[in-house]
Amino acid sequence: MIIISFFISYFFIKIFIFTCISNLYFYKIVCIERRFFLFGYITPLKPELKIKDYEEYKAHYCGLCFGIKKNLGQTPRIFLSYDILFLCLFLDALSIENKTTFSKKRCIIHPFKKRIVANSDKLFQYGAVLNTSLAYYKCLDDLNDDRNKIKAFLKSRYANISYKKSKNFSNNIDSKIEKMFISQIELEKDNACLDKLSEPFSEMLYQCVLNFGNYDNNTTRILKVFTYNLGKWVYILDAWDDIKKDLKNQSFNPFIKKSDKIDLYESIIINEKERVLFNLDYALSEIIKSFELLKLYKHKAILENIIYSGLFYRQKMVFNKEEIKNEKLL
Amino acid sequence: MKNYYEILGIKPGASKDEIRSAYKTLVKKYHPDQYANNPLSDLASEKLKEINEAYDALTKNSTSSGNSNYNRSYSSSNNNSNSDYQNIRLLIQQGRINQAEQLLNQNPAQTAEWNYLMGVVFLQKGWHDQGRQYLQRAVQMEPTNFEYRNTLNRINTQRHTARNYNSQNADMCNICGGLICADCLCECCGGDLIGCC
Repeated sequence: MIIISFFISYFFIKIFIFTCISNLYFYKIVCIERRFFLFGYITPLKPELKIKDYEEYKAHYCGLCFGIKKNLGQTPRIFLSYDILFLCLFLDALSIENKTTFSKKRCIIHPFKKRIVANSDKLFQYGAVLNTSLAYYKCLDDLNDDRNKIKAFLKSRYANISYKKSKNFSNNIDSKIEKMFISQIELEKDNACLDKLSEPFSEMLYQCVLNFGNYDNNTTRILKVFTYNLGKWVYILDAWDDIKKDLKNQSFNPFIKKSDKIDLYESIIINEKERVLFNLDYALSEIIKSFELLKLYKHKAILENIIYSGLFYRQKMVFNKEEIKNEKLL
Repeated sequence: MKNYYEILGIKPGASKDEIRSAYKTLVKKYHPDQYANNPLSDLASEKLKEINEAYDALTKNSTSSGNSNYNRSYSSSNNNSNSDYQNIRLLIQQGRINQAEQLLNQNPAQTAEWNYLMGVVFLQKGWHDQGRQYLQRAVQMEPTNFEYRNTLNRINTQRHTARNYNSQNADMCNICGGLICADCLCECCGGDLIGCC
């Protein structure tokens, strides 16, 4: 009897150690590729933020992280992304009734100093679900594209664990994201034009925003234009950023034409730069204009900073990658 | 009773100058020229109306509301277009973009006006890339047409909205420099702006 129980406990301990190690291993993979994970394009321009707004931003960042922990467990915390944080702030700003409280907490990454954390159950649960589902589909997308199939496969398996959990909370949002993912792949197969290619992502953003609250007719119209252009902007900028990588991996990119046998990085950059810049700039101007028509109740300074300066600066960074690397900006 | 101060984004009891400057920046922001070819232009003009109303009420001057009568017309500058296109222009003006696109697709023609209307439809729809290509084609076909050229120029200037927001660093040096330049120019013409130099 003792021997059997010893074996059983030994077995469990082994499983426990194994999961610990595998968790650490995945953490390493994801952390190294953190910069490429999700998009992370929608960020504020820190030097232009007031300290109080920056603190508020940080508190919501921690709040989202804790929201993921509370609803979905430790695993998906590493997928935390700035884009979802922006969406959370944006959704919070649009609703009057959503109340947020603040408290001081410790966490694993910052064990020595207590940090201010925003608490809002409904908002951060929604953010957590969005974050994990988007991370999962991004992983699947990488699995389609990447040459390093094994790594991509492991990553997608890892994301799947928490994605399954998040399905319990989401009210149909995951099926909408799945739909956009499928239509995206179909459009890529068809070699559709740039405007069409960016549509599924915009549509998904729109659904994510609409799913959270009830808005009147005019606001819905403004949100439609806002999310349409924001999605387009992110999609184009991401595609432009990835040209080099996609050329190497021979994966899909709207700026790489299949018909030409040899696509040179430099020639693509020279030929397409003007067109891409126009599209990005125009989408940005439409974002700003629709944003100005929205009525915001909270977080005005942060959101204005992100929309007016953050996006523009991010775009500049992508286009002047080499220069900025050398300059070492703030 | 609306809160006029809130509409203009100023504190209650603000001075006349403050009201005026707030009003000016807001009008610039929501000006119909800014929202040309934007699907939300009607909301912007509504907002502008509200701002005008608030400004009029605050300055107790109800006669100067002529600002709100902006109505861009698509049909003003061309008299030679046929009735089909006239119809499509009307649809675009009413915001029925899908119908306009259907009509245009039903009879594809390689005229400049067809390309122009297609471009406008695509711009409203949010397909900026395609929209600009059609507009460029229209301008290429009829380089003398003022309307086509104007629309293309407008979208090329509108794209700099974000850039303009990020280059508003007016510091004292710029002001002094500007004043000195203005003084030099005045002196060239015989006048004087800064008396001492």
